Amino acid sequence: MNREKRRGPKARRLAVVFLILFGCLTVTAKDSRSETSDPSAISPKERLRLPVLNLPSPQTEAEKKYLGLSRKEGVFQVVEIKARLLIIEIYSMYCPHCQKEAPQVNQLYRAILERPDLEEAVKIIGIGAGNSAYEVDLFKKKYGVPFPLFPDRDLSITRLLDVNGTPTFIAVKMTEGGTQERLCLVSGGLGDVHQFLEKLLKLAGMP
Amino acid sequence: MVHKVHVKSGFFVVFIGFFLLVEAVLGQPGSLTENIYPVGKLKPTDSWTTLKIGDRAPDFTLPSVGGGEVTLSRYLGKQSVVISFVPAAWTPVCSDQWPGYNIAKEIFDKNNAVLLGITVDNIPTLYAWTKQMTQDGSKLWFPVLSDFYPHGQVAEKYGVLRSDGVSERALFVIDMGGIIRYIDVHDINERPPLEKLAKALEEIE
Repeated sequence: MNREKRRGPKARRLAVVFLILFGCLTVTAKDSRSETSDPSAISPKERLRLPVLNLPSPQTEAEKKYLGLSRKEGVFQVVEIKARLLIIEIYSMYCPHCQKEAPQVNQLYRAILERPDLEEAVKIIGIGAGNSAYEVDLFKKKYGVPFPLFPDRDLSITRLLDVNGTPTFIAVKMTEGGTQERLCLVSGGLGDVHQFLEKLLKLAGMP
Repeated sequence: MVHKVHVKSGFFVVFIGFFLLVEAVLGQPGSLTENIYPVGKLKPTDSWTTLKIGDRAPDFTLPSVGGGEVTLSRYLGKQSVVISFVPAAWTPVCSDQWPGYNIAKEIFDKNNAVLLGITVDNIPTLYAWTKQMTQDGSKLWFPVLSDFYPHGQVAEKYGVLRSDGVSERALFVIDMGGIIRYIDVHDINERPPLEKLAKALEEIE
């Protein structure tokens, strides 16, 4: 009985220590997820207004039509894209993670097209961080990327977006008033594309 | 006694839960750059090559991470050769330059050229480093050679061994006759644009 009494507090102390460690690891695990593929883990305070982004006009009529752009050539601003939700992928043809993720992103594009209610409302573009037009073209052909990709050889666009690694996905809520709210920034893989899309739609307040 | 059993079983559950969580956390995909050593901004070039376009490329034999040895002269009369020296494994820029070349094989095939990647690292280091470049367990399509011992001997032959023992970020294009046709000793902090290399290969034809 005396031994039990002595062990009781000791066991409780050990249990408390483990519970504290458990709690710390739970917090760490949550932070880790926010760096990978869970769009819902983004803090509301990160919902910043998207900076003005100028991109070169797409090369093909099909891509211009997809983005709803009317101008023939030169540069356009992202705000001109006709969409309610815009997904921007920051990638590099030199990044093995981006290479691995390319089929998944293509699948996300197809998942959007499969839904008539989203076809016109949700668009995807890719920005090749540090990539020249030649390198962007190579990546596009290699992986059969069906959505528009844009070069960012000098990283001038990528730096504006506060991106630390590739691939990174930025979801932007576009309004008719011309405002663009960055809903989330997700680094790493998409995971299940349907779940990923649903989470983004929820964040954008789209049914 | 019952209380003792409950304490023990509770302790056991917390203990097991703790280690399962440790495994879950440590098993998360790593941060995209966590294995890359930050070298900071370096002196753009730190060597002086005496080789110039039109010179005969110095021959060499080096061990390959895929096994065996590779000798430059074995390509004579068969294929052009692109030598890509990169400074060191697990450093910025180097760690994504070759993964880019890995999806650009058709540029080399189209111009009947082979790519040889060279660093001053040893074979085990190159094995681990190149293995994570493809993400799907496949191997790089081109030989990766170790210029580790005697240290940097080939880099020195080509005049691209820096004073700190790593090589420059340099590209040499050698035609089927063994003649150097293109040299780019690049700023070590930047990746050479692929289109310049592609153009150099096309001009050999």
